[in-house]
Amino acid sequence: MAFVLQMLELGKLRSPIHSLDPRAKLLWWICLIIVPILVTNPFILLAFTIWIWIMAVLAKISYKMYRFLIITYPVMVGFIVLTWPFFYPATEDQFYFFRFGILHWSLEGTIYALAMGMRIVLALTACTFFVMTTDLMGLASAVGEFMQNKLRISYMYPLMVISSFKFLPELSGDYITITDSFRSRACDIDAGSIVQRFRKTIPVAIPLIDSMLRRAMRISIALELKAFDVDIKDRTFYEKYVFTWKDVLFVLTGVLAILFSILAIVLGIAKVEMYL
Amino acid sequence: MSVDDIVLKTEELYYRYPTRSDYALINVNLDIRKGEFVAIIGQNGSGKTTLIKHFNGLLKPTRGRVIVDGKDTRGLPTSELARSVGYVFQNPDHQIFAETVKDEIDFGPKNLGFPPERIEQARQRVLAEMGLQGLEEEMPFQLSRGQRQRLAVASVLAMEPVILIVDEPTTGQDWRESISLMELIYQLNKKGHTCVVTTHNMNLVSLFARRVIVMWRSEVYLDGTTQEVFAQVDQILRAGIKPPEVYELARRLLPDVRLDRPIIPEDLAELLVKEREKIHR
Amino acid sequence: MDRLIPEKIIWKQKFGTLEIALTIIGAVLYGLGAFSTMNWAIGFITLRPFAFIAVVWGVFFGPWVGGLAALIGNTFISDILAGWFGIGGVGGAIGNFMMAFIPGLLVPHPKNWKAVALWGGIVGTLVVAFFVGGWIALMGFAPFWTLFSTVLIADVPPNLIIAPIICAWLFNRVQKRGLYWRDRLENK
Repeated sequence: MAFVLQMLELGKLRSPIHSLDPRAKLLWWICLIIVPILVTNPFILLAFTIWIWIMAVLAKISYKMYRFLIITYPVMVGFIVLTWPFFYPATEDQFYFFRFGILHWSLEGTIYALAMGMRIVLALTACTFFVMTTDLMGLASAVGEFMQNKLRISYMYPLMVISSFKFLPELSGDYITITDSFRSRACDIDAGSIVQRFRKTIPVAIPLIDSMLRRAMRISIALELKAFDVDIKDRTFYEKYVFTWKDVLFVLTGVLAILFSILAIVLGIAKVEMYL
Repeated sequence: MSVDDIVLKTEELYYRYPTRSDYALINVNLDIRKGEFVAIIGQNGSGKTTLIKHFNGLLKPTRGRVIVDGKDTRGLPTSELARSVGYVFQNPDHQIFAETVKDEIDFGPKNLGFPPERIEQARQRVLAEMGLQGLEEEMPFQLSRGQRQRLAVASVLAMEPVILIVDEPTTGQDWRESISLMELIYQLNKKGHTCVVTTHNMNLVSLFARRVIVMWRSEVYLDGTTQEVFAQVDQILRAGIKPPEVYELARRLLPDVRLDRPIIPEDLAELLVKEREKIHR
Repeated sequence: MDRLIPEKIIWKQKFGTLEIALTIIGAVLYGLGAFSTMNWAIGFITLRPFAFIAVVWGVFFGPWVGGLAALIGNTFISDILAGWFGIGGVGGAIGNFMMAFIPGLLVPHPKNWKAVALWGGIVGTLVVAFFVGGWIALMGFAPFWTLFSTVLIADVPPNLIIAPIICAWLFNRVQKRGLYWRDRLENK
């Protein structure tokens, strides 16, 4: 839990990457979501992943990123890699480790699964890099300003997202206190069999939800007192974000990554066959 | 009642929160004996709550160790330590969930696997001890704040702990409710329960506690009987705490008198009368 | 009391500060719940005991409050912070929204446990599993059935069993505080 809160703080660090406009990083990240969808060649994916790690060193978050991903990588990637071979179409010309009815596992399927795992690795790395280098509240505010002024969409939606981040530390404090108080009465929701844990969730959830509702009522009053209204469309903003040439360059690297992927497809080395 | 057996001991206890670089507890060495009534006081952020969270294993020492009822807390989960240590949280609404007072009280003992007769006995006992008789079938959320606080204590007491820890029991309550709750805890103490209370209310400390531990800047700053601690007015002020005025008065009016018990204004008056008699004699 | 759908289906919900606050709190709670129980797993499948928050929020506070809370909580808090966002993405957002929206729209009364179990526990959960599994398959990250079945295993127990219990248990308190959305609509 403490880690979640740390993640939100990391975006506020200082580094050449952190100082970029949050919207630039958002666009860059969208590019990096598209890349693993276009490409399944594990070597190209690996190259992109290494590129992000180099930038992580620049942004001074490489160790933190490693610590976080070492928890996430093995489980998710392992899951994907272990399930894919069963879904890889069974043809006669493959080398089979075993084949039993519809269940089969071949060498080709394994290689394909590893390539698929590599795509997840790239997507996870890109997302984690983005979160650890971006002030998410700043981003939401910048996007909110754009939405209100250009698209005439109420600030209500960005406000909800920003506030969720803002209240996260406080509410996780409540969550910890409540689970602790149950622990003190010999009811530990993190111990026991899965069925027992589910059963223990109910008593914990009651005071949890109840205290949250009281908080919601207070937040509502606070919003009211600060004259927030859903229908106001000419709200002003405290911070102004300006796109500089550095931001443009950064977005361009993302666009280049996509262009490179398309080039790889044209050259026939991207390998985008999918078997679902 | 023997006062020699130590029920809770901390040895060179250091604690650092995982996300922080500085220590929240520095070299805490304490012995708490059976039957003591201890008040832990200190400014916000001085380490009181961090300290008492070690007593039932909610936090585990970064260095050093905590021995509760003969058991090292490092090897045991809180849900197991709950047999020895009852911990009542500050806000009763963070723990009350049940539809009736009865279910709320039975929850802990059931988790510990008490047999039905023992649960029944424990419930009757704590209802009486906490002055909640006749409310068994009430909905906890219909009770007053003071009653809910007492219910929280009762539901912890029902687990028959050796030590009772109460974190800031009087926050958000008026004077009368605070007094009556402290009075109930005091009665428990008289029956032999070891009680540890944290609070900001110095008058209540002076009225009920026999021993006071002052936390300051993550360390145990003062530790002694209530009268000893409060008599050190300058030190205690430095720790950001204002002792009850009666101690300051006693120090100024009777600088040579050593207090042998905690005092209230009536006691001071009595002492003054005695002193005057001495002089006149 | 035993109807499985309300007499009149209400699509619209007016947002005031209370609705905003409830959405925020619901989102944080949903995201936190998902995050804090990431270590609850059967093999590779991470369970989500707090998935019921989405259903409960939809039933108590209306389809839009519930839906937005689940969307923000899942996508912006739990997914982004866990690194899944690029993968779970759009499917997770729509799916979680629907998981709260459907019971919010169609459960006639929170104490009607059959309706909560039907619309939240079965239909809502199938929809979220379909969207998540479908999106991941569409993006080519994993075969449809793997994620579809994973989500079902993770979300059916809390939504089918815990959600109806919590709805029945907390309804009186919610109503007494004037937070129940159908009451609020009538009062306006």
